[in-house]
Amino acid sequence: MVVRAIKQLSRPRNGVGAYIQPCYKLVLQYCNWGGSSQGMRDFLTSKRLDKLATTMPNIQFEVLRKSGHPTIRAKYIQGQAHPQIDKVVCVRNLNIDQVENKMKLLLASSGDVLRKRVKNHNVESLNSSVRGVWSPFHTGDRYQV
Amino acid sequence: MNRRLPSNLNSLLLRCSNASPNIPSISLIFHHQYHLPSFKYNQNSGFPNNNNIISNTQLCTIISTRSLTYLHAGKRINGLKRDPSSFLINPHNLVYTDLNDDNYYNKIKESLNLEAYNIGLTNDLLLQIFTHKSFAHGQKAYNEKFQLLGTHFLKYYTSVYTVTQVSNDQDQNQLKFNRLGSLRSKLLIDKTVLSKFIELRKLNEFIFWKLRNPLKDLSYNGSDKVYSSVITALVGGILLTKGDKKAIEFINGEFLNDNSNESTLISIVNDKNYKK
Amino acid sequence: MLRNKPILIKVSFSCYRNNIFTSANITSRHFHQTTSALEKNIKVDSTVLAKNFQNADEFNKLSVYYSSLRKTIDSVPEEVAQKSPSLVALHHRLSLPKEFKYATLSQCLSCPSSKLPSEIKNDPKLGVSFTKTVLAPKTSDNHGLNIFGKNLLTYHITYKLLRRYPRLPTVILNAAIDAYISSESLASVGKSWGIEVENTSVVERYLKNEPVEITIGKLRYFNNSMDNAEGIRVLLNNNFSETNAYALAVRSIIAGIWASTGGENSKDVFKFIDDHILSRKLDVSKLFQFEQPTRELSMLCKRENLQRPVSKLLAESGRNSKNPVFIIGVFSGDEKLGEGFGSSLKEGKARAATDALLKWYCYESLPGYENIALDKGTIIV
Repeated sequence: MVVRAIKQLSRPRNGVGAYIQPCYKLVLQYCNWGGSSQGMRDFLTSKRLDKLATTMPNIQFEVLRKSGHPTIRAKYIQGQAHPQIDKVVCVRNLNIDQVENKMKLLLASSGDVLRKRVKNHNVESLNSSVRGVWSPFHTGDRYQV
Repeated sequence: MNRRLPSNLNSLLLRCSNASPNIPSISLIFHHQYHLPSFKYNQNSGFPNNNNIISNTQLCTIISTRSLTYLHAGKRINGLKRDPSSFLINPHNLVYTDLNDDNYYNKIKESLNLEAYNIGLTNDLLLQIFTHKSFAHGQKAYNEKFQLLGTHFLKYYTSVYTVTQVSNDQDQNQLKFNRLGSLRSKLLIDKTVLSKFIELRKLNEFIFWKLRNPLKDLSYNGSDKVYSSVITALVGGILLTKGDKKAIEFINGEFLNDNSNESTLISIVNDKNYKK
Repeated sequence: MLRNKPILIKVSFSCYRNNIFTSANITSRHFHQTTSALEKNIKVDSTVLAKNFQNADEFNKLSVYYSSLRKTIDSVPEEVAQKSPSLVALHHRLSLPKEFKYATLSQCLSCPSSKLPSEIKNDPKLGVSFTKTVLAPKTSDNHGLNIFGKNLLTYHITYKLLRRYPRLPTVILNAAIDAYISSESLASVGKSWGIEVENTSVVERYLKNEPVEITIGKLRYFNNSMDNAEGIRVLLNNNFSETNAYALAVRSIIAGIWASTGGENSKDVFKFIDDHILSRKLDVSKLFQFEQPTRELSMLCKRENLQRPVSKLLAESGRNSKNPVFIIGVFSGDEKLGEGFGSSLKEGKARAATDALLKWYCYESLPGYENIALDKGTIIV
């Protein structure tokens, strides 16, 4: 056999066919005693969680009681450019609105690790350039030495 | 330099070159690999120096067009171009180059009842389906990819068949996924069963393939695999050209039909005498 | 309910978690409040637990929990499955058809490798006391669904690829099919669906008093606590790996969609496969590795009745320098078949031939205008 195959794996492109929200689970951790959890406790006892869960049936919410500062842990699916990760935000001493905003921030996140984008990092693509690469050998008039 | 010409060829060349004064337009050329001599009638070019040709193979000229070619038949000689009729031939002595509707295509169509399902496969396609990769060193169109698709489709469709088959003991609305992987469901697409089908429908003589060792029997040469590839390639060919509805209709009628007078895959599997 | 202050109930074992689970369908109505106490924030250590189970009474309670878990998994009732937050969320995430039952979804997550004894034994040496999985009988695991899903997937992907790239050589076609539906690829799909693995042992779940709805919403396969002990690695056969378990689940869900949409009509399930699996990125030209490109090209030209391919130098730079560049084109008559570069003439020639072959083999038909004129087969040199 003259042609041989090199084993490769296809790579995910979320949104090209089906779209799955990168955040799939939120773990809301609160403490039943500490004052820093007051905002979180307010959030949990208000109707806001119910509302959020009803509008986003694709997200799993888990409420966890654990001593310490309250946190929101968001779990993300494995994406195109990044592995499966968790993001954790501490919401100590935040009030109910701030807690909700943090939650929405995490829900809307792509799950990609935050990093600084420098010049020429405008396009990230799995596809090769449409325009091609310039070559000195293919120009009409070549410089003769 | 082991580009020696076979001795009988040398005499052949000499005879040609001696005859050259009578036929001034004959030129003797070599194939660029130095091995294949061929003759070309050429009005313009004269005949090169006879002695040089025999003694010095460096003199080869490459001329891309040939109107007369020496084709060798019989025992194989290294470097000689073979006569197609000597190797374009299947184990049942059917010649690939002279096939026609009466001796080949219509017989296959009749045996598979293709007309009944209104599946009009073109002759080229039918021939490709019945040609295995081993034939003619892959220079003729062969059925490998049809076979691949057909195998997967047959696997899929027989599993649909197995799952949806109604049995008396269980409740009828449920699909029986746990039946999959059973011996019976595996047997339906087993290569021995498929090749048995080919044999019972007497299609084996139409298949073009090459025996690994002509002195041994067919099963040693892997006839099961070749025969089953034809059946699956047929399914794949129908699927690609006529669509899945026709393919399903054909499979239901010819392969998975309990009540047919002819042998089907079901009847072969049900046959108690059948031994693997 | 949450609005009341949770009551602390002291249970004889320490537990490090206290979970309340919620999801769209069950919010406000079914808040599961767990009863075990939060005493110390330590990871449950199996040896400590083993000592505790010398108390027969406690062990009996565990056995009851285990058998109830088993009973539910044997045949998951639809009412129980509807209350499972992860199943409900997964169902919505994949926009599965309404006819797809939650119980079937739970069955899809139950791998045949999760086989364990029917009764739990109080013997820490066996590792069984700390099992993570509960035996599912053959009728309620995903064995059959997986086989069906695999057949369905393989056929559909092969068909689509063959229509799209009619000239791919068989080995490359197989590699391309594999790139979409090998266990590794499907595992990555499964992970992107947010399927979670059951990683806590039955004992821990018992101590947390975790409702059975949580267990049935996770991927269950052979992974008892023995395999992640400190410094010990259990070498698992391929069939027992996590990758394989994910692949089994994905295939089963696809079979489940087929079954729930009436069986005969495969349109919906094919659309699902197109959206979730065929939409992934694969560059087929990266799959090729040619051994003798020039020879293969000349065989191709011979078979297709084209003129003999000839390589010609198109441009060059620095022939006598340390790093020369040659641009070489391969021509058949007046037609240019391919072009390649190289730091030697030979290299450029080989690249040009490879380029020409790739252009032949990777011919791609426009969607909707698939050319049914079929390929003769791979070139055999």
